[in-house]
Amino acid sequence: MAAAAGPFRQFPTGGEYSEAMQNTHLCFRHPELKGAVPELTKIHTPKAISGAFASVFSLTSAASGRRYAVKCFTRHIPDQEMRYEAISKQLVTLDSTALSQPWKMGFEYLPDAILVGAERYPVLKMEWVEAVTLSAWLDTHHHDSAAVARLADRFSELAADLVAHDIAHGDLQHGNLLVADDGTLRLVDYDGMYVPALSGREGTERGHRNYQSPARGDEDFDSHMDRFSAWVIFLALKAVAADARLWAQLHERHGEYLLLAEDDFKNPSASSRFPALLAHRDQTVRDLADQVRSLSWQPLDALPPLPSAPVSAPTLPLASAAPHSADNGSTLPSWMSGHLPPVSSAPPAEDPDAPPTSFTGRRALDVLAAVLLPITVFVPAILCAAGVLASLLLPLPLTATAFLTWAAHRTRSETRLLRKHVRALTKRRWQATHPDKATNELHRQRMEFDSAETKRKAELTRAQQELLDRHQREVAAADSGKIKKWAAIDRKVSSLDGELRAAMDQALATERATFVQEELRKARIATARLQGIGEKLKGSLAMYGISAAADFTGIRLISTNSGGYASTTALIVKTGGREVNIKGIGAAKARTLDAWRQAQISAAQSRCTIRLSSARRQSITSDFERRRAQHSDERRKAEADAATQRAQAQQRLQDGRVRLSAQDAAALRLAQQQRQAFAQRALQIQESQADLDSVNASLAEARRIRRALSHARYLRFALTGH
Amino acid sequence: MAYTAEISRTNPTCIVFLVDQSTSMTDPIGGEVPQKKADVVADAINRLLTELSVKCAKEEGVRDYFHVAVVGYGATVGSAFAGALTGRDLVPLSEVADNPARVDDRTKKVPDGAGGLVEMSVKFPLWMDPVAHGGTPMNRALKYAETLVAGWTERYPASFPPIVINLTDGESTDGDPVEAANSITAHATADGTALLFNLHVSASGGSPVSFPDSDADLPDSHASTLFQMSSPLPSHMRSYAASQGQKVSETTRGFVYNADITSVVQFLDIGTRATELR
Repeated sequence: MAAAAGPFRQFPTGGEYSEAMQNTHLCFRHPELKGAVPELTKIHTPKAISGAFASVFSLTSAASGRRYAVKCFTRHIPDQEMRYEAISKQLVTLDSTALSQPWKMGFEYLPDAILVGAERYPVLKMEWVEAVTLSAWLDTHHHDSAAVARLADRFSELAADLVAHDIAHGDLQHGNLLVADDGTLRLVDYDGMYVPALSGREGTERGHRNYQSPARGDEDFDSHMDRFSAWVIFLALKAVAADARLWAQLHERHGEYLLLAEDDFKNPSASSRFPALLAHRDQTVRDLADQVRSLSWQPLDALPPLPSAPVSAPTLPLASAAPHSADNGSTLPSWMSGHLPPVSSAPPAEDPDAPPTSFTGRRALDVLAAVLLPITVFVPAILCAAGVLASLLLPLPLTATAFLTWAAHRTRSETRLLRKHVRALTKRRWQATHPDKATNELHRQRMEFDSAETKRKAELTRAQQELLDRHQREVAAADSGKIKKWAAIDRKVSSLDGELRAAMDQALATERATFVQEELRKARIATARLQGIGEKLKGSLAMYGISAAADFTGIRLISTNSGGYASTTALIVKTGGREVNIKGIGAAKARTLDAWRQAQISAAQSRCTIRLSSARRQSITSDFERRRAQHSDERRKAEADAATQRAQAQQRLQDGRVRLSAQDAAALRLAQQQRQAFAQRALQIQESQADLDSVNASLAEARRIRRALSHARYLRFALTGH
Repeated sequence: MAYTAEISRTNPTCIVFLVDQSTSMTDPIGGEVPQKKADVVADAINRLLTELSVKCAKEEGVRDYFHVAVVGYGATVGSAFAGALTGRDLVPLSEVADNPARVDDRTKKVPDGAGGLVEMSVKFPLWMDPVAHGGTPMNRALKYAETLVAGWTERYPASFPPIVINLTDGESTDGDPVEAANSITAHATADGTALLFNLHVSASGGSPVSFPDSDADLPDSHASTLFQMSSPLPSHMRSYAASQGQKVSETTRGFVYNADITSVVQFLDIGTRATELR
């Protein structure tokens, strides 16, 4: 069964186990569990008690009536069966009578015990323990100092049992330590237990964060791994036994820790809880607290076991021998607790703002003060005593020196730091004592910020819209520009056809006129038969340069009236426009001549071509084709220009959007940081009330330092350098 | 480092589910057996509420590690809780656990151990019913979630940041949801900014795009929008997703596109995975 038990087998969820437990006669095979009755919730489903890696169900056997805790695993644990076997074998060897108390609980690992879906999974069947968790017990018993003190001893005995057998539980904490009615402890949950047979393997868990050393890692899996948590629990029990009020003061109701938690170990100097223990009037509490603080960053195998004998102050095994590098407390005085930010997981570091507790390193000003001081005190006194100086003038140099030393003292970095530190603490005390005002102020700032954010978002939307509008305008402008250009080009193209025809006609007309003119030149008057115009007259015409039809363009008849006689003079119009009157050519002969010329023209015209030569046509057409091509180039160019403008507009839109969203992203990041800062402050206000005590303690400490940095101390330092 | 806050009763966190209840949620979802999307989503959330209750159960009962709201958006925007919790928004988990609207008896076929199958009746608590009616007013839903998140961060400034999980099958019908989404993730506690995860439920089948780290392989601008709205997975959720066989990188986002039935359940499991419950 369950062949898929490879290294990364998926396990059912708590809910799936709970569903399977609704039918225990189907899901179990083990005779004690088959048909067992589960404890139910208010809605009548099996009740679980869940941890990080498993859910536990309470089942009462139908067969024997015995009650069991059945642990179902929700996560794969490497070598689980082998580990439980090793743990079981080891625990069986422990003689119950030799143990300090009956803390050992019996369990049975049952492989393939429960059917969920189509597969079987292992369970751990355990005795049901009638006992309450350590934290629940402390809730009801913290006032009973004697009982708490007894429990502290019980606990150190239990820890000693483990040490004696080289066993470590791995997750000592308030939920795994149960207190029975008789005041003895039960240790439950052995999932992460180390026994010598498991040496060399890795741990399966790191334990409850509020009980573990910050130095604990996965590789810490040996008999030392309980040491830190043992000290933490022991400190809590001893402290509550010594002062029951500490439970109310340091333990938050429902808090998953006793008196100290993870943050306290990670950063003791910033802890709000440590000071109350470190400054406690009870020596044992103080020493134990100092011990836990000094153990925080040490390797686990360097930690001492709990003292077996009842603790007597002040000799603790390792507290004084702890190396200072790991001991934060030695470099950071307790008054600093109110100074560092409360929530910080950074490894402890020296507070840069913390004032030193004494003066170190004299400056030129300090030396000057030191030189002037004796001079101004003793010299005038001597002079005065000698009567050289009027005693009235004595205070003058003294006052000047007093002023100088006052200024020198005030400008020392030590005193400046102290002032800053006290101011910060006073502010925190104000916050702690005026939580309403601080909260209101924070609320006001939050509201302001929120409304600024709303405004910014509205502005962003507006800018986005504006960007889009501009883009649309630009695209529209590009398109309308193109359309205008196209219309002009189209007009030119459509007139081209008419122009082509006109050019053809023109060319034809010219060709014909040239032909006619040529024919007229060939029509010689000398060879023409002209009525009434003989050789003689032809000779006269020739003399006037008129020998062919081309030589004149027409005639003009002028009627004159002289002395009552009407007469007509005939003028021949020569090519070129000159008019000649040729003797012997009267109106009749002139008309004959003109009619002959007209006849020549008609004859030539009838012979002349009516079509243009194809070469000529070609030349004219190609000229027009060239112009046509030019127009379509212009058309294409207009299209390309518009496309470029559109692309540029698109690019501007894109750039604008990128710019806006980068601005928005930056603003959002700022908003996130700001809101995180608000949350931090709200937290500080909450916590400052809790750590009012420690702030007050820090202020008291600061006052002590102020004495150490007093004017008198400064004068001593200026004079002696110490 | 952000997203490491311990989740405890004194420092709980909140989970807001936004459930698309538009008409199209009656369409079948991709998967082996066709089921209505609305049914699958309601079933997954009911199952998850049971799962959370079991996970947070201790000796004395269910601990309030979480406060949970289930907001439906369709014809209206508001609480989707039925029964005693009707109309409530953020409800402490212990109250959720004790007050399902009803407990159905469902029958299931399970192996009888002898090679056959046997019918088994199991109790199935229900807090919400499937609804599918109206448009997809995602903007209004996100704004509703923002008011819950804003109130939470002010009330629990140290808590693990609120988680908002949006389950939808379509495009927002009341405008671009990106800005409303950004407003949610601009809220923060000392432990980090609020988280918004998005799940797109498939109508067509096809293979889901799960926990991507870029929108390069997404089919359309609608998917890209949902991707951009989604927060990167915090590291503990990343490692959990990886342990569940998901491919993840440093910049993996809490987003699944075209989810089938299995991925809906897995997405909710990963998206509500707590750091450490104490």
